[in-house]
Parts: sequence; structure tokens; C-alpha cells
Amino acid sequence: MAKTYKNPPITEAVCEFRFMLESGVSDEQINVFYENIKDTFPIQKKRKMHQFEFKIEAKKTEEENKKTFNQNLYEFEQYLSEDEKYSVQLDAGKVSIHRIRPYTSWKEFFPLIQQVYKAYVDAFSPKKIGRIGIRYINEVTVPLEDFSFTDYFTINASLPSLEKNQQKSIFLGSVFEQESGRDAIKVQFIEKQSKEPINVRTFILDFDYFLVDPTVSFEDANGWLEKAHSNLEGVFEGMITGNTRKLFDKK
Amino acid sequence: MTALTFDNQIGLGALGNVSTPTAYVVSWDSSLIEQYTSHSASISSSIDKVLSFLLSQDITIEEYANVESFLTNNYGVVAYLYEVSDRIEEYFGQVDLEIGVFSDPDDIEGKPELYLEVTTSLSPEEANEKLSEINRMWLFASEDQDLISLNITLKFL
Repeated sequence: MAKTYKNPPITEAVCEFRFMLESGVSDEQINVFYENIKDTFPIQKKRKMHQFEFKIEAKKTEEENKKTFNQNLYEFEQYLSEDEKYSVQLDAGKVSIHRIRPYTSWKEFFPLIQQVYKAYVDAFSPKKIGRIGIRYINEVTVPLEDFSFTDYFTINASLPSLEKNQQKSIFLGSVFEQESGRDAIKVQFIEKQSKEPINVRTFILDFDYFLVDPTVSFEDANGWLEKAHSNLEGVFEGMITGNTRKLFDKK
Repeated sequence: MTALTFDNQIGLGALGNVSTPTAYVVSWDSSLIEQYTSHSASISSSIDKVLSFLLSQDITIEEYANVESFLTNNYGVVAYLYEVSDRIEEYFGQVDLEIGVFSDPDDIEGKPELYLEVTTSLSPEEANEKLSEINRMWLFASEDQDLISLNITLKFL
């Protein structure tokens, strides 16, 4: 069962689908998609992404090829809930659902994911699911006074000859296979550096659980999501201690 | 012909002097095999990416957490921040830049605003003329509400 905290450390939760399409998407299909989500995401905006493009031709010189470098802004659709805490980003074969702080619960988030997923499949009739990802980005802030790394985190990332609790900075990145290699989870554990003197230490715990082998059918996507969330939650809970949980249960 | 397209791509070398999560991740990703390099789309990592880019351009970010929070709630302005250095240089040359969030202390319910402060040795008359020009030719010319929300201010040496 999904665990809930009074003050969850989650800064953003994301579910992203990437689909293989027969062809590009039409305005009509986008309108159909929006019609099926607008009760939940009534605010519609066009957003931009900065894109870099290189065109390379073998017969051209290096200097000539350098001149084909372009920076463009290209547009994608964004739909937001009334309070703008939930949003959907639509970009042709990619659709993602985001929740920014304050995170509520998987019980609230999952039905919205299902709604957007169904709306996409109905509107765009994709050929196949290419990738699914669930990503939870957490920011854990602990008091600097009497700080001891092992009081808050169970991971062991120190050198035997050096005192564990004297670590001043850490970056850990790891990819683990899941479900016999069909899935993977990318775990990033990073301490945020600050130039200003502060009385806290802040750690980013970023978990990205995703489908590697695109063998999940449209009908099985919901089951995949529930399992993925459960696996991801298990990894997170395994990395923190009771002291960290106390921080999340403070209001 | 081969066309390569990158979304908000930041090269490994560009972040050599930056110590943000993005800087570590860009370096790490370059060592992974292809099936593990992709990331699920994230608003907060897009924001960290653009802030890392600004830091790599030696732009000062005042009260980092406030800027992060502003961009999370005003996501539309993120894409334009990649251009600020080049745009400012067109009008003011190479100058010190600072980005931050301003809240009017007398306006409790007022919305915070994002500012881009240009430190210039030009005379006030000349600098204000440049400022009017950049507002007219860039910010207001786009008619994009997200871009218009960026306030360019001047600091005189």
C-alpha cells in the first residue's frame, strides 16, 4: 500500500508515456485529446522548448556544416489543473503528467494518469507503447547541527579509510535492472551545494523507474504502473531511516 | 544529410565550472549505454538545467531557491532564459548579469516578479535607451505573456 506523509519530500512526481505513432498528430486529434481531459485540466497553454539542430552533410567541410547550427524555439501543449499543481505536457508521441509540490498521494495521482493515458490512446491511436516512466524527485533537508549521514540515510557511500560522517558532498548515480530486465530504475542521490552559509543540508533523491523492453501492451499499462510505483516506493523507503520519516511527518 | 536535434541540450564541457545536479547528471549520462540515458520528462530538471546553463554563463542567481520556485510556477519563461546572455550582449556588450525574484514588501498579495539585472558602465541616458530598445525589439515584440513577465533592470557602475 502506498505510504503517505503529512509533509512529503516530493518536489515533483511525473508519469511519462512515449508512443510509436503511424504519422504526425493533427490539430483535430489534439482537440479530441483535450476534450477528454479538460474537466480536470481546464487551463490550456502553449509552451516553448529550446531546441538545437545540426545538419551534417558528408560532402561539406567542417566550417560549412558549422553554419547549419540553429537554435529554435518549438512549441508543445501544456494543460493545467485549476490550482496549476497538476499539468499535462503533450508533444506528439510523448505525453507526461506532472504533480509539483505539495504532493498529495498516489491514490489521487493515479486516476489522473489513467485519464490522460486513455484520452491519448483514444485520440491518437498509437501503434505501440515505446516507453513508460514514473519519476519521483525528492528534496530532503536536514538540520546541520549534529548532522550525521547515517542518521538519515541507509546507503553506504563512503571510503573505508575515511570517516563516514565527515562527507561534505556526495553524488551517487546508479541504474538497477528490475523485473528480469524488462524495467530499470535510475537512482540519483545528490547533495545540493550552496555558496551561502546555511544551517541545513539538502539532498536530492531522484528515482526514475522506466520500461526498457517495450513489451507492455496497452491493456497492461495500468498494471505496469501500479507495480512500478510499488517498486519505486520500496527503493525510496529502503534508503531512509526513522529519523528521516519523522521529518516528513512534521507539519 | 543527417539532422540531429537536441532539446535544451547542454554540452559536457559547458558545465565544467558548475556544481548543480544537472552538471553531475550530464557527465554521468555520457558514460551510460543508450537504453539507460533517457530520463522521464521533468519540470524541475528542466529548471535545474536552465539554471545550470545560466551559471555556466557566469550569470549570478540571487536566492536560488526563490528563482527555482518562481520558475516552477511560471514554467513558460524557462525556454527564453537560454537566450538572455546573447540578447543582452547585442545591446550592452559583455556585462555582469544577475537574475532573481522581486516581491514588493508593501504589496502582500502581489505576485513575485523575475528580474534580470544588467550592470553597465553606460550613462543613464544611453543605458535607458538601450533598455527601451531591447524591451521593444525582444520582450514586447514576441507578445508572449511568459516572456513579457521578465523584467530587465539596470545597475550603474
